Amino acid sequence: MIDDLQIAVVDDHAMLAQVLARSLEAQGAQATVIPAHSVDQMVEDILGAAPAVLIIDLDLGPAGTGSDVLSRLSSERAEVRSVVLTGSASELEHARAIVAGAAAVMLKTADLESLVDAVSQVAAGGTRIDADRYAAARTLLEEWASKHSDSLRRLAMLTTRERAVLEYLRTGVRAASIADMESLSVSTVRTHIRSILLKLGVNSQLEAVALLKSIEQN
Amino acid sequence: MRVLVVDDHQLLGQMLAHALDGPALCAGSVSGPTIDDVMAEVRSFQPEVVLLDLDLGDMGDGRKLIQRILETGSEVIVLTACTDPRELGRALEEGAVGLLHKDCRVETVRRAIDKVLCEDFDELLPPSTRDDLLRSARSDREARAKALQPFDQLSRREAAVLRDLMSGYSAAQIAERSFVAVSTVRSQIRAILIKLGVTSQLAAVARAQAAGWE
Repeated sequence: MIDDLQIAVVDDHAMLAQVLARSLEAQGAQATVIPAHSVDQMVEDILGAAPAVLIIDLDLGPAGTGSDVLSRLSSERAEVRSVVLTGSASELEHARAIVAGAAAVMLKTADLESLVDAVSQVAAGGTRIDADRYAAARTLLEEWASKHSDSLRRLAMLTTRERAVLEYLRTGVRAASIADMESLSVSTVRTHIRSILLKLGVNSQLEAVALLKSIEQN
Repeated sequence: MRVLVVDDHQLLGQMLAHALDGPALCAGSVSGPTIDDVMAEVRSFQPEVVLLDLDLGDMGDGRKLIQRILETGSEVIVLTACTDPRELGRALEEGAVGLLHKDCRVETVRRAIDKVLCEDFDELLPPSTRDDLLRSARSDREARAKALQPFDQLSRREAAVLRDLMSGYSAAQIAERSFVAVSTVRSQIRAILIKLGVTSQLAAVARAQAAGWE
């Protein structure tokens, strides 16, 4: 089913990429492993390899995410058919991959046979993502964005200095100590803090820190 | 010679076993779905070496399996994406003889298995590295216990107030939420600060987060 198929594999775990490539080759495919460096480099390597199917992990460690790579590929108008292979069961992450153009999302808990099935289906121009699933993914992403957009927008209004002060507050450092460490006057630090609370639309330093935490948890 | 790969990612287990399998080595894999299923497979497959993932997804922490596997007479090599010395040290404490990173190549896994068979344990994991990792695990455990100690002194009500502070609620809001007077909440907050040895609510919240208190 995947005889002579050109397949590119991207996974930050070199071992998985290596054994996956070998397993695919044992079934007659021609597999290339693309190292998970930067998103730019991966996009370039994928375009260079021009695979019939791309198998890509979502969590690519410090390099970024598979969804970033897929979005970049589609913004460059590259027609790359892709199967996302992930260890994450997060609906939000799956939705990002689907909206970025994945034709199938497979879990690493699946077996090799079902992965090969998905790859051959996608190679033949098929997709595992029907219109309903795509629409649900879009809705999920939009809901997430609207839930957090207000906080994100407010956070983006902080100056670099205010952001640094907020980080201090998060670790429990008080205005006087911040002033010491940053060689500022205490009244300057207090002004920064007032401005942070105003911009974030909160009433206390505790609330500001809690808001920061709630965004980062998502 | 038999090797069993234990990984909740069936795909990796299957493929790694396939890559390791050969004339000199019989390799299998198991991915659950439960810890009992894994142990049943370990007992029936009777491997000399088990390659064990630390993060077993729904099955939890792979470390709790190490001693049970050792009891069946197999050695355990941990195969993980984790690089945190404290976590790795804790796997050694449980009795793992070797550590492999999921970034390594299949040849490296094969060599590690050979070393276990030849009982070249020092070759598999240099004693100095082993000692360093064990020390990280021990000092981390001590530090964690010490950081959490003051939190044990909080009353149930004080702990609930601290949780509310962590969510960003003010004393007045907490009072309203829990149907008590603001002055009561304020005295509870004072007690929290004294017990944690800090001088502000912000510092109390930061300390709780740093200690991993929940």
